[in-house]
Amino acid sequence: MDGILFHVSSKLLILLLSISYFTQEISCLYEDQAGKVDWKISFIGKVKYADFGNNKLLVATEENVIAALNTKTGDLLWRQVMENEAEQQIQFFNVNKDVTTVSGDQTVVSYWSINNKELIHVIPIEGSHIEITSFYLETGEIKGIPKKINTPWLKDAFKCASSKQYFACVQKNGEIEQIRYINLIAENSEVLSKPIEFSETGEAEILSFEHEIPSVLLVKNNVAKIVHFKNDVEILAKTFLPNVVNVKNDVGNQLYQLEINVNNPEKLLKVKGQDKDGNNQVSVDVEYPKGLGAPYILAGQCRTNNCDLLLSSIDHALLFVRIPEGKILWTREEALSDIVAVEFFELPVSELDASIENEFKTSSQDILSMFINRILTQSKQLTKVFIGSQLMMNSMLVRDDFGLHKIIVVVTRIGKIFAIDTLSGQTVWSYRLPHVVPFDNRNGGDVMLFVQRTARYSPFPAQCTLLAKDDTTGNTVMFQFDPITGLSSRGVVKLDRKVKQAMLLPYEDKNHLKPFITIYEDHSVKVHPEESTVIVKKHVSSIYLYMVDEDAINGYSLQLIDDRLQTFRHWNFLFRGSKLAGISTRPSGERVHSQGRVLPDRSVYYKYVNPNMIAVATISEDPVNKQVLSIYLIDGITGMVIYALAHKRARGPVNLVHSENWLVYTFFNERYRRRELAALELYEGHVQSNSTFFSSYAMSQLPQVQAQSYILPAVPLKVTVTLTERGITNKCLLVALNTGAVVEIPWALIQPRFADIPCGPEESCYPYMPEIPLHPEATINYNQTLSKVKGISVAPARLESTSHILVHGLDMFYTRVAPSKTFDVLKEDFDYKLIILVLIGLIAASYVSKTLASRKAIKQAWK
Amino acid sequence: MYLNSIVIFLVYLCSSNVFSESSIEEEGSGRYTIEGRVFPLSDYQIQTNWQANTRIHINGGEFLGFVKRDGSFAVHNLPSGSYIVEALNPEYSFEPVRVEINQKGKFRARKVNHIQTSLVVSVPYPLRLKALGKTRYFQQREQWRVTDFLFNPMILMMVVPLIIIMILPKMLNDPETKKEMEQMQSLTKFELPEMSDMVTNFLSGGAGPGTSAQQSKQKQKIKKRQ
Repeated sequence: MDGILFHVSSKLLILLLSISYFTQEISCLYEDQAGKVDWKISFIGKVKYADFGNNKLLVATEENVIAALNTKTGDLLWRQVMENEAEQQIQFFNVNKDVTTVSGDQTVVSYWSINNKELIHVIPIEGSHIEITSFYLETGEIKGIPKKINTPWLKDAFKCASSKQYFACVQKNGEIEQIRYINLIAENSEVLSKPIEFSETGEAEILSFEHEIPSVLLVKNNVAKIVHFKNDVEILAKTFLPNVVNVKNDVGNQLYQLEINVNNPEKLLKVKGQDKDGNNQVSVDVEYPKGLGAPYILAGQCRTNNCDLLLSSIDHALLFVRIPEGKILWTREEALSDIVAVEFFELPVSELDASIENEFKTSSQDILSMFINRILTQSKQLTKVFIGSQLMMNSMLVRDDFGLHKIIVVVTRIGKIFAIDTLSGQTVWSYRLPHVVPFDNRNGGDVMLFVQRTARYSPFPAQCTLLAKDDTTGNTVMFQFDPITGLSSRGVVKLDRKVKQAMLLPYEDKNHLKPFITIYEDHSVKVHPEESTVIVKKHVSSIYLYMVDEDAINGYSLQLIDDRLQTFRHWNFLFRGSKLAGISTRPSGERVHSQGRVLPDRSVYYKYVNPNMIAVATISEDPVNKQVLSIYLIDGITGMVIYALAHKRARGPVNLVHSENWLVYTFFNERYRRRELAALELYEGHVQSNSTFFSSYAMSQLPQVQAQSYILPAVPLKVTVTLTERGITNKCLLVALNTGAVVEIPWALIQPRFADIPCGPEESCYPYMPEIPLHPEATINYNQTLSKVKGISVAPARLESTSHILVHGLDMFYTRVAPSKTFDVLKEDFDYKLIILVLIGLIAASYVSKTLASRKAIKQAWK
Repeated sequence: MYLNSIVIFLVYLCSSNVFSESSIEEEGSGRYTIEGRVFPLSDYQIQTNWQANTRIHINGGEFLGFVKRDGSFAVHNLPSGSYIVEALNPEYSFEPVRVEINQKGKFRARKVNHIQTSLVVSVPYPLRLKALGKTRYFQQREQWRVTDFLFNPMILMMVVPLIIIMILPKMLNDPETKKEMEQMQSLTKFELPEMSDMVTNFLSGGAGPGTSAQQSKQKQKIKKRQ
């Protein structure tokens, strides 16, 4: 009886849901909602070149961005994102009246307006030898004929630098090192040389150096000397640090360098200004923030009585220092332009809520103390009602009712962790891990970030663990911290070995802490924390994991031998010469609410929901079809290939998304030269084998697969799917396009249609359209272009309808999406006033009509 | 038959382009430039700095171009092949164009058709990219209108009974119908029980309304006697 009831109710629910497909399409924004919940922070990346001009700070970065910053606040005035940095690095940057850049292998000279990012000229240059082309920057005309210079003496082009018209290289002839240079614009340019007199040992290097007189910097063993090219080459006697920078002021040239301040622990940094003969003129102590890495000077500018210096730290922060005050005017954290891991965290409950919760937990107390407790908490509640929001303001990081306020912990490539508030986008705390870099293997992303305990278990703080690689030794480092406060009890723990794979286990210990296991090269397994080994041993037969290697995916099971945990290879999936193009598993914590799909004849077609499924895409070279894309669905426990298919003449990049019982992937179809998106859906059929739990070993038949493919009229960079608390809400794909838009595509639009079943609004089915319509209204970031998107992170809110989205790349964009609209809260434009007015009006009208009616009745009676 | 042969020829041409891409790159020769011009919407609608915010994406960002003040653009150093050229601006939408450069350096531009890939609708080269219109990212919020307000069910609920009660009887000034109405009213006459009466009745022992009426009559009699 219960079974039937459940059956009926589930059917009803499915029906209700399918009706909602048509009443609620994509959630669109209204114009006044823009910027209400979302925020965007723009970054520029690690600064490579910087210069001052027209009261602005102009920079060129390693992300191939040129940008102008406000010198007073550090705000971004404009930003121009150029070609892919891997292929076309900016190689020359000059600010004169406007900005000149030279970039790329196939060199392009561009000339940009300084006030806005407008392009004034672009000049392509061909050729692979040293050639001098002079042209007028103002007009872009080429002046005269290009001049070619023979360079047979150039052996090691990396030890060269250019300064204005001089081009200089360091060359070693046996024991003697000499500097060879050439004046490029001279009529009869010939190569001259001069031996280097340097007392230091080691290899000499040459660095470019900005000065009025053409000059370079010779560096040997961390000691630098300035080389001036005038009529003759002149190596100055005074030695400097390699980070020395020349700043021109009214009096003359001043050389600035940074030194560590040993004497003053409060102000760690000393800026030393001197002239070229080393006469000490200025020495300023700067209060350098402790969380930042070691700084170096990028550029400087001097006015009558003060100087501005732009510093960059090794963890990609930009600092603007004013001298002689020694004050840091602003800092920019450019590390956030390259995020490798993201996790959303629920905030802890407020003290008051925690005390209420505690009341129910402790039942062993006597009646009197419980009564006192109750009175106390309720009096606190009362005071909160009267004092209200002021208390809330004091402790902002408190959980709200709908879980809309969260903390995002991001790990950047340079090894810095930031916690960001979802409401404001402000950094709550940051922590720099020195010498920590991402892994170079393919297991589980660049770094591993495990959520061991959330803030739900009130007296215990939340705990999060980061696993990454130590830059110096190559071993693994572990960093455990509280994501809400950033406090770490143990700091960075260096493990003595390389961790090959790690996995968070779903079992909680008595402190609600989820243990995780680390697997080493020798197949040994370690449990963190060690006390939880008992729990792991108890569940040892149900722990399986997989690792992605160069040529295969290997599945492992955990076994207990002589009371020691070890991994054993259970299955393997060989690539056989093809390359891995993508791998995807279901989002952890995803819930599938409806068990099946209701067909028009009111029968239920049950979903094949395998929580252990791994979707793999490989690309192999083929002599006939150029490249073949193969998609495999593998059971992660048994290693069985559940389904496989291939696309001929398909090219990457491949984006794979696996959720519930379906898989979506995008690729480039070379035959028709278009991007395509394909969807696969797996069903068990009309009979459900086991409605209570899923077992990979108890599989009687292969699932039935529905497939359909579509044209995607755009270039997807990253694809993900929305995630909600209980999985009732419709799913939406989030596609980050290279145009800078992030588009929401409802799953109902791409869900494969059944061939033999009619499709229409009655069946709650969109008819098949070959090209997926990408409406601008479905762009969740509206007109805020997001450049170079590297990832989209999704987390559910406690409100079923809503999920949190963080898109990161060169910009960081946060918003909330509701794929089925916010069906569980009143709309924000809900008219409370009207409803109150109408109610008052109705009551008034009923009383008035009542008196009128009674008066009339009296009149009638008197007649 | 004639049409068919054209289509086949085109497909061959396109595929040969694709095949030749890599070999050209290896040679390092034959670098071409795609040129064109972007036209915004009519003069009064344009942003002041639209040129700086417009980018030219070729093959979805494989190559980039920027727009000069006069709206012209040039993307350099392209090997021969087939490219999709799009102009991107956060405020305006543009239609993409497919440009094919053959190995001899001949340019041909046509509309992008993802569904019928062999269909050719030529467009002039150098490209002239015109804005289709302002991109609408937002839904239009419903405006407050009097009709909407009046046809609101709650307002209807109030207004319609009001009309029936107040205005209808006045409209029916005809004496005959008035009589009929009165008759009707006398037939359907009923008294609304007063709240205070009900409460007193309830408190005085739950006697029925009939007895209370009798009691009140008795009281009146007593008063008369006095």
